[in-house]
Amino acid sequence: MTEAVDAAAAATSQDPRVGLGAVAALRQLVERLEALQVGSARRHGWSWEEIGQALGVSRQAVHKKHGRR
Amino acid sequence: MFERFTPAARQVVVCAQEEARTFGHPWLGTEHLLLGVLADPQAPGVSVLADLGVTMDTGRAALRQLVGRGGLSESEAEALRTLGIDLDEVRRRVEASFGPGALDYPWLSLNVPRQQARRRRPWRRHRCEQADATGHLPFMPRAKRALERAQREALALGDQYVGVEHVLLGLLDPKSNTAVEVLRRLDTDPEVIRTRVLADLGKAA
Repeated sequence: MTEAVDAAAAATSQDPRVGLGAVAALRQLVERLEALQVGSARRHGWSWEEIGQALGVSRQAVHKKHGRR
Repeated sequence: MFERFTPAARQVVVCAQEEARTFGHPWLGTEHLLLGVLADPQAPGVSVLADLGVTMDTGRAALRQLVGRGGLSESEAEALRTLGIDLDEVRRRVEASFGPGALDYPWLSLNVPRQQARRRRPWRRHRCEQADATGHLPFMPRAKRALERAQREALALGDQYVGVEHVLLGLLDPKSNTAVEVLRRLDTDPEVIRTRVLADLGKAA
């Protein structure tokens, strides 16, 4: 694991694998945070319309993604 | 729902419950069902998984990696660190707001809308109400879906029963689920597994 740290530290901006990996990991994290926040908003009684607006996407898009999981 | 399940297939569900409990998860997900399948390496089709390096040990390890860090692996946590994001800190803050394990299974929090809860309840009453008293864990929607898929797989193969092999096929959901994520983490392709399991079953028949 320290090797992984070293590798990441050494290659920070140069190695596309590290950069792309970071983007992929970030996307994973964002997906999870979005699911949490959408669930929370629904519990607070927000409509799909309102959630979509806050996320900057359409009501249909957010419902399709989170409506039935 | 379990009427046509063979004793071995029911045992998969029982083992899955135990695995979930061992992991400290208060629900039963596809990942636990996968481990339940792996607990029966002699079952038809399951040897395919062993051939690909998916065993109880590697399966558990992969799941631990997957859920140990907010569903993100060690290497992903390191990748985030290169961006200056401390996943442990993110996790701390998320759990402070949403409770323990929130980042591991954020989709759990989505199963709340009232009509949906009502729609799901008949199924739980059917099988789990009394079971709840004896300590059965509630099924995640995608675990339930996987078991429904298992029934369809059995039908498609012309089998009158739902066996371990069908549960395995049911878990290989093209829409993805945590079981599929575990398999991917072990460098296997669900499509390939499916093809090989079907070939294996064809050979046996």
